[in-house]
Amino acid sequence: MSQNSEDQLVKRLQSSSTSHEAFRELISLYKERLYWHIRNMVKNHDDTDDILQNTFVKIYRNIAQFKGDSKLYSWMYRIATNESITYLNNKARRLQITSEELQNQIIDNLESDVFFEGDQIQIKLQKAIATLPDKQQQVFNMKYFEELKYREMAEILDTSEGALKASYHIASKKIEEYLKSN
Amino acid sequence: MKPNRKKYSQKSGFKIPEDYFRNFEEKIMRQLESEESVELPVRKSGFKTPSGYFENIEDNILSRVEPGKPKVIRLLRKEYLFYAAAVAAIFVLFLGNFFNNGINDPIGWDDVEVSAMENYINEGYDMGYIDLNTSDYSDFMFQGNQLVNDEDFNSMNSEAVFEYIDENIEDPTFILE
Repeated sequence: MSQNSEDQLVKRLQSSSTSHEAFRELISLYKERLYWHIRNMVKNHDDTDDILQNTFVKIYRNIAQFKGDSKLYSWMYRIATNESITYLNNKARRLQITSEELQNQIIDNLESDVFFEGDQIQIKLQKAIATLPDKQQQVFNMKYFEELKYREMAEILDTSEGALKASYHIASKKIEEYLKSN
Repeated sequence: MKPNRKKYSQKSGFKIPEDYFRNFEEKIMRQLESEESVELPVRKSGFKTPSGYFENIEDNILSRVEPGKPKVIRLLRKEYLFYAAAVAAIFVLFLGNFFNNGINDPIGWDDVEVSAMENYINEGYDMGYIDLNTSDYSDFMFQGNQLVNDEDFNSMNSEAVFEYIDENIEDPTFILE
């Protein structure tokens, strides 16, 4: 989306007479990208659906405060990321387990998940991703599965492109080693 | 430390190839990019969505942001049903048994602000201050999203309910607000 059309969309979102229609447009534009961004973090479809809806509701309720200091998509991705992290933390606390234990539990449940059609290699890949620190997991998912550009990732994560390239490189190496040794 | 402020002392005798540091950043970046292609499985996570999921999501989300609509919790989830049943039972007992002393018209289920209760359950569940064990309230039933068997609630021992609240609710005064 060009800067000009993004600015137009933001204006329409912030105007009460056009906000509803513009919001529908915004959902259509970003629903799939944000869905997969969340899904890669929480893995389960029902949880993703809840978080995606909460993310859009939060976007709608806070669009008046959006000043355009960052790109609209990067602002939305950040909300989706925060919502996902909060959701996972709350779930871990509710189950009285650590985040690592929760992640292992989620991956163990993948085999019986009707919305997972991956094979053993893909399950092993998920297990490998789970061994990475949180930030590296995010970077890896965004680059490997979501195929975002480093420039876009840098906007979303507020990090330099160089740092992201290094982080992705380290993450890939760790995953490769995990896959070879397991 | 101030980067690149001063060149390395030449007294050590070490030398570097000419122009070694020129375009150093680009060289490293090129190397990183070429090494990105490590041997990993195909770029498919294996996740899929229910058929037609993305077709109706706009309407689902827009219905949640329409003015006057309260936040809705997903009552289809089994765990939420149990939590809702347990907290609803507590509300009914409080309103039915403890506050109708001195009040001519007993307060009943219809007087309970359901959306407020749902919000309380939802928030409490998310924030972790409602943490109930499903085995504690397996006798409660929902029929068509309605809590049934009110008679059983009213015949429950009030001491037991107070004890239950004391043990399971972090701040019992909150649910009376």
